[in-house]
Amino acid sequence: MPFLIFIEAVSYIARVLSLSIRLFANMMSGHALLKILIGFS
Amino acid sequence: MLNSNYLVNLLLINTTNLSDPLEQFEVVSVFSLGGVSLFNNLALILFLNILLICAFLSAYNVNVTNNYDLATRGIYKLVQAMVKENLYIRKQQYFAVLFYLFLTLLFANLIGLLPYSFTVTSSFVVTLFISLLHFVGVNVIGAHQHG
Repeated sequence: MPFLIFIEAVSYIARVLSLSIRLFANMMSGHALLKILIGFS
Repeated sequence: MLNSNYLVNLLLINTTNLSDPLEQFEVVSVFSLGGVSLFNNLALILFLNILLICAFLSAYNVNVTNNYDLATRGIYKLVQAMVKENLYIRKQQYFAVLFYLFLTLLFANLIGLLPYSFTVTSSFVVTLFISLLHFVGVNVIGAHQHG
């Protein structure tokens, strides 16, 4: 039971970090890809 | 003093380096005083974002119907439908937070569409700040109401 509490707390806190990293990575990769494709033309 | 190199790049007089795809994410100083940077382009775009939201919302007028009112009403109805189906009926006062969050992300991404501009959501500080702000807020309100 204490182990379950630990796992739930970690997953609750890690959601903040993982969702913000996901938004940041998607925006950054999209902009970098567009810049590379513009550079080809 | 003003960073003249950044302003020259912003005014399309000098084209930026196309061979480096990661230099568009650089946070450079715009205004510095005595070697201390007081204002960078991230803060500049965030400030512009707030100004655009204020201008967009203050264009709303009940008596006159024009395109601004149509856009404002459409976004309001969109967020209201989202809040109505995802939140309890007695928790509808948090509509304002979600409406402001929606407008912030919308205007940040619309400013980022402009060429030679800067997208604030592609910097990790902004996304981490938004998520931590709402995480702390939700936990404080929940502990205050149920604790």
